[in-house]
Amino acid sequence: MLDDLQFEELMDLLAIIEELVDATETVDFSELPVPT
Amino acid sequence: MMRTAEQLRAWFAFTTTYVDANPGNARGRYNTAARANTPRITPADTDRVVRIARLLPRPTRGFASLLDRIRGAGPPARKKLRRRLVQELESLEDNRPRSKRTRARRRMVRFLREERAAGRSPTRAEIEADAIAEAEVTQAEIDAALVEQYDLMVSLGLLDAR
Repeated sequence: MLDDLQFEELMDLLAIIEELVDATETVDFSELPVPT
Repeated sequence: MMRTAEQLRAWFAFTTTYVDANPGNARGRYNTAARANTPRITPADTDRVVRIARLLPRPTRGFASLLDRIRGAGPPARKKLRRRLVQELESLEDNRPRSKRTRARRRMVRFLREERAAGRSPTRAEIEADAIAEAEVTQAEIDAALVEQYDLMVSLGLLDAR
């Protein structure tokens, strides 16, 4: 189990990653070819 | 210690534009001259991207581009890894039911961001209690999700193990 500091670091990091994704253009996978 | 926001942005930009450093020709096959001068996408790279893709709330164009390039460029031996990447990204795209651990993690991050946007700083107990109520997960599933994510972040070099 994570201690409180590890928890805080992890949550901060996950929040930053989501913010970065929000700032990035996303894609509709229907645009891509079907894998073979 | 966590990386700074600036380091994370650089990492993220590198990851999502990785394909730009791996030029192939229009048919998606590697150009011999380009390959001699640029890093190739290896199975290890694909594996790394799969793990990173699991972190993302939804796929980005950079990942789609990378997927396209890997799909066209890899030798048959990489087929399995390419398929894994396709599955990861497609599961992100269509919001298929995720594991309880994933649900717990996503709910906690969402709650944290919403609270911060409202000018509040929720405690760990509040974040976990919200996930238990809203994502219908148990404390044990939350603990497992957190350990799993922490280990992943350490393996990706984004957190230092303590």
